[in-house]
Amino acid sequence: MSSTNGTIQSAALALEDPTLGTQPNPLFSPAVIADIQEKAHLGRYRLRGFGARRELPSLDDLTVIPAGLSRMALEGYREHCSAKTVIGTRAEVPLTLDIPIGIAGMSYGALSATAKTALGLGATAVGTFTTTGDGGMLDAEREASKQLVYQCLPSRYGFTVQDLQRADAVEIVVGQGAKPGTGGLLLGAKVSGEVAEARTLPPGVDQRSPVRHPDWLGPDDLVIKIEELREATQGRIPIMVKLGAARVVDDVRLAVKSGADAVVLDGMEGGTAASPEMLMDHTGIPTMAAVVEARRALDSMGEVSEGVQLVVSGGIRHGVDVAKLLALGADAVTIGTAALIALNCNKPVFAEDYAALGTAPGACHHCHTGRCPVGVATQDPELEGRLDLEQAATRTKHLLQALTMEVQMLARACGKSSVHHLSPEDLRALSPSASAMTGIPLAGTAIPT
Amino acid sequence: MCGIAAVWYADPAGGPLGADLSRMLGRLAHRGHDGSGVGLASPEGLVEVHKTAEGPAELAAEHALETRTGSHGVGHVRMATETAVDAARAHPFTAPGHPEVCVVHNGHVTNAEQLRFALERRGVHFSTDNDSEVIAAYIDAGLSDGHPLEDILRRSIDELDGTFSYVVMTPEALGVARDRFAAKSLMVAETDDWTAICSEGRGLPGTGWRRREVGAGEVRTWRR
Amino acid sequence: MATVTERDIDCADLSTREINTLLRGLADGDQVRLTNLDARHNIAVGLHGKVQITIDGDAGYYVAGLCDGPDVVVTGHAGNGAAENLQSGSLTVAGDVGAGLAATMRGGRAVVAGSTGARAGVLMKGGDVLVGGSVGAFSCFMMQRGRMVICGDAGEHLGDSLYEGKIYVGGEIASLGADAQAAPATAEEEAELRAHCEAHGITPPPSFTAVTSMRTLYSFDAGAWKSGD
Repeated sequence: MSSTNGTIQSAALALEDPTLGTQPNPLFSPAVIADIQEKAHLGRYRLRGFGARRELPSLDDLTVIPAGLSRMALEGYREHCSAKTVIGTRAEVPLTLDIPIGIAGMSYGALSATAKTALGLGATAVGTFTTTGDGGMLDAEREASKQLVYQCLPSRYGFTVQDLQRADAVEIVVGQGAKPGTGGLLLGAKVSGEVAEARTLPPGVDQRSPVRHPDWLGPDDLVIKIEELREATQGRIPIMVKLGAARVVDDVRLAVKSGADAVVLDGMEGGTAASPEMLMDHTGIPTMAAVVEARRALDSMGEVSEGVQLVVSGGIRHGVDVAKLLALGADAVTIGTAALIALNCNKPVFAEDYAALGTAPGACHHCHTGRCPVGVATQDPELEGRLDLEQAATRTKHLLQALTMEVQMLARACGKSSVHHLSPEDLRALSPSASAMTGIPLAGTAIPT
Repeated sequence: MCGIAAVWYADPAGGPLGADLSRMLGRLAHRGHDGSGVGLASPEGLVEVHKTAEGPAELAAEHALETRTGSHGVGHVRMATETAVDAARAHPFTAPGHPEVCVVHNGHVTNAEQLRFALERRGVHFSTDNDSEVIAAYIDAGLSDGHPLEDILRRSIDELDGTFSYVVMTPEALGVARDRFAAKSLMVAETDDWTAICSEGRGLPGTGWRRREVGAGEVRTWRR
Repeated sequence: MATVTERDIDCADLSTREINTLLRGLADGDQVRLTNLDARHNIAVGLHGKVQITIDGDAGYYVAGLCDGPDVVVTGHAGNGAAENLQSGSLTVAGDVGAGLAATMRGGRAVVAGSTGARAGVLMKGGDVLVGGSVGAFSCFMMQRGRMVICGDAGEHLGDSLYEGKIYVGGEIASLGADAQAAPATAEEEAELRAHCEAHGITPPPSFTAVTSMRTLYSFDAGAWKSGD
């Protein structure tokens, strides 16, 4: 070995794998480097919209196993397969739906009035419900929606007894899958004059909603809160409780013990219009695991949970996701992000406006900026004008219809005349982790008896 | 999460403790259906604990609470949050090894596992996985170290994290503490003859007395 | 002239639902007195009528909650969440109130002769609250609009993160919350507040401190935000 520094250095260089020179470091990837440098610039955590962007254990690791000889498949194009769904059966007037898919809560404020109204029209056209959000109930949304779920959120923005009494169900929001344990966020660019007035806020403020409800702080007080809402609605409509999937078993049990007629569970893939970025990718439980835990929690309770329905949401993309969730124990599901995509979210139009946001169609997550190029997540009248109400409503209807057809197709293939007859035994797992998470046997491990 | 009741009679000879507590618990029954229990102190300095996975009516019947007198006591109805529903996890929780120190708690202590570890290193053997048992052991450890009850409760405001309104009783004292978030309601009514503490005002005996909420981070003790 | 009903309703044998259904069926101007209510929760909830309801004795949680119009009087104490989300009308309590008085209140008036627990006026969005005694911690947390007048003392973190609205305190303030600032009330305000207290049979304190928002939390780090994400 040479005794000079220069020689030692060159020897070390010679030992290095020459292909590393241009390969990004997998730990400190370009995205991580950009994130660190952005935070070093901002001095605070980063915000964005949309939802989780990392790969998570997903429903793709399950497969549906249709009928063959052991059981008979139903004729896909002819034989009846019911998709009728009832939520809140303990109430005098439950939500009675033609399909097992509803539209999740998204606020007027996060979304434009046109988008909210289109969702209502589309849902109504296929006999399902839509849900208000953290900005009160719009008249146009109420008129458009035959069945409208009214959210009761910690902020109580725009919450009135009149709207409560014209709702078809109430959803008390404890958390959401994208960011359980934290409050809502609506940045000033979207707090327009109308939105500010609906929320009793000064226009243009960065609205940061409380995480806790103001008038009850635990399930014991929630018992009384639910009774209050029942008194105000005379027991007519279902009172549901929405949870972000985290401590699922405990929280589902407590929601039931508090008197909820239905539990709405939002997995960590659930979307949001604005959130601290880290929360979306690193808090909560994936939808696939959450539904299993929730079903077990409900089934472990005996009579108390009888007639309590489980509604599941969070990252649902197509009818196969819906079918798998129904098989794993959901009574119904809701879609949020997928519905917005039907409205035009991330559609390759107005590409220059995506570019101005530093993004491109197919990759946009700029809901929080209020500069939504397709008029969905904005309060800018010009952008909102790009969303044609009737066409948007038709696309919503079509998506809901297509998803339902996919679920029915799978149910028929499994020999079921109702989508609600799908069960865990209609599934196999494709990965050990999906099998471990769901209790579904790994494909190839079935033992002949 | 739960409902709490407690009674302290000014006269050391005591009063109709069992009847008072079961009446209060009956009016809190909606706050939890996962168990109930009472701790009863006699003027002779004995503390008795009865608990069940059933409700307050069954508890009262089983232990003839209507007939029981005492100098002070605590009661509880339970809505289980994170641990199993059974009689062992109903309240009151007694301190491991010192059944005369007993606690009823409403809320959830979020650093209970760290406190449990620290107490286990001192030699405490817990009988459940419940956070409320940790509070009983925490207070007992302070008493064993010779600290006055009020000081221990005051320190607990800083050292217990999360939400808690709790009442602790020993043969000669009663103490109450509420977390700094003032999360779980605790109402107090006082006359010259008695003090009553309850999660809800409607559980307090009679009407016409002034009542006030225990404040955020507030601690109070009563002692003979 | 419209017929006005004045009557007593003995609640001893009525369910909460039955009581509220009776109250909902009253015509504007009707006056009723509820007896033997036993401090039950959720009474006079979800009402719109301009009716006058007197509760003889104590009321439970959420009395006059989710209402738009009625005038409710409680001759005893009231529980948590009294006058919650009140839109118009009033709640008058002769005794004390638990936590969360007038939470998310939007309009109308709440008058409490005694004291209240924590979080009085939390998320208030309008209306007028008058407390003869003191209020607990976190009162007027994230208040958005309206007025809260406290003749006695205020607990810790008064007016934390309030947006708009005005708080007046006659006694001591244990501590102000983030973004809240205190200044002596003006002579004009003092005169108005004295008259306001007296009009509701409450003895005004010698002087008031006004608490308002510093508005430093309106923007979530605005400067940095504008640089884009």
